[in-house]
Amino acid sequence: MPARENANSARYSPSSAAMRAKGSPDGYRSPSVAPRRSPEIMTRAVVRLLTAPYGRRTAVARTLAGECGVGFRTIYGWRERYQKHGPSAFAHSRADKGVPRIYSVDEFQNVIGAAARLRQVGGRINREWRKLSLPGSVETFRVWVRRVQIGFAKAPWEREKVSA
Amino acid sequence: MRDVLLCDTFGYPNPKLWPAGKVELFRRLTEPRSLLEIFIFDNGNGAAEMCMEDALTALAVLPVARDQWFTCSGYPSFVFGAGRIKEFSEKLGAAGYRVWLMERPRQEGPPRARGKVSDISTAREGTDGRRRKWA
Repeated sequence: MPARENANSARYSPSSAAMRAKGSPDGYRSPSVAPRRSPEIMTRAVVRLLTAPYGRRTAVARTLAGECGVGFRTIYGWRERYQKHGPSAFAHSRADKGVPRIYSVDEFQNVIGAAARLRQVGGRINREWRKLSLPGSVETFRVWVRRVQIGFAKAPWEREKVSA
Repeated sequence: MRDVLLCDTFGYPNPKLWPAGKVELFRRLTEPRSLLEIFIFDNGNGAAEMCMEDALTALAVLPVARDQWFTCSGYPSFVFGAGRIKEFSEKLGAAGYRVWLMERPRQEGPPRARGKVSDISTAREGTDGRRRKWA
C-alpha cells in the first residue's frame, strides 16, 4: 500500500464537484431486490432510514420494505434494534447455536439414543424423559429430541470445534 | 462475530447526526439506488472513497485498515488507493453487490481562449508622466 494513499492524499468532499456514474453499462440503473436479509443489508436499510429527511421517512421505509421483502413495520423494528444495541445490533448470534448447553456429553448421547428409539419404535416422550432422569424440563427434552431428529442439533463435543 | 469486533474497533457517529448537507448531496449523486448498489468515488488524484452506508458495508466485506477509516467529516468514509478499485469491486461483486464507479466529469471541447498578454512595464510608460503631473 503506498503511503500517499492515507496521509497525503486529499480527502474527497462530496461538495467539491459534481460526479457522474462511469460504471453503468447502458446508463440505466434498475432497482434490484435484496436476495437475503443479511446483517449488512439490515444495517444499510436502517442507516438509510435514519438519514432520510424528515417528512420522507415513511416513503423511504416503504421502499426499503419492498426491497428487503419484509413488512413495513419490520423496518421500524430494525431501526429500534439498531438504536438500542448500536452498530452490532445485527451481528450474528452466538456461534455455538444448535449446541445444547444444558446436557453434558453423556446426557446428550442419551438424548440421541432416545430420539432414535422414539423415531423407530415410537412411545411416549414423557416416559423416556423420566427414564433418563435428565436435567431440564420435559419440554427442553422434547425440543432437543426434535432437533436431533431433523438434524439441526450439534453435539456438545462440537462446541470445542466451534469455539476453537 | 467479525461484525461485532469491527464495529468496536471502527467507530462512527450516529447516522442521525451525519451532516444533512453531505447526506443530501450523497443522495442526489447516487439516487435512484437499491440496497445492493454501492458507489465508489474516484477523486482523480489517486485516492478513492466509499462513504456513509457504503463505508459500513465495506467494513463488513473488505479488509479495511485503521488508517483508511475516517470520521472527521461527521460521517464514516473509507479512503483507499485508486489502484485497488478493481480488486474491491470484484470482492463486492462476489458478495452480491453492484458497484458503481463515480468520477469527476472531464472538461470537453477546446481550451478556453486566453486574452492578449500585455507587458505591465510598457503599459505604464504612457501614464508615468501623467501620474507625475497629478501627483
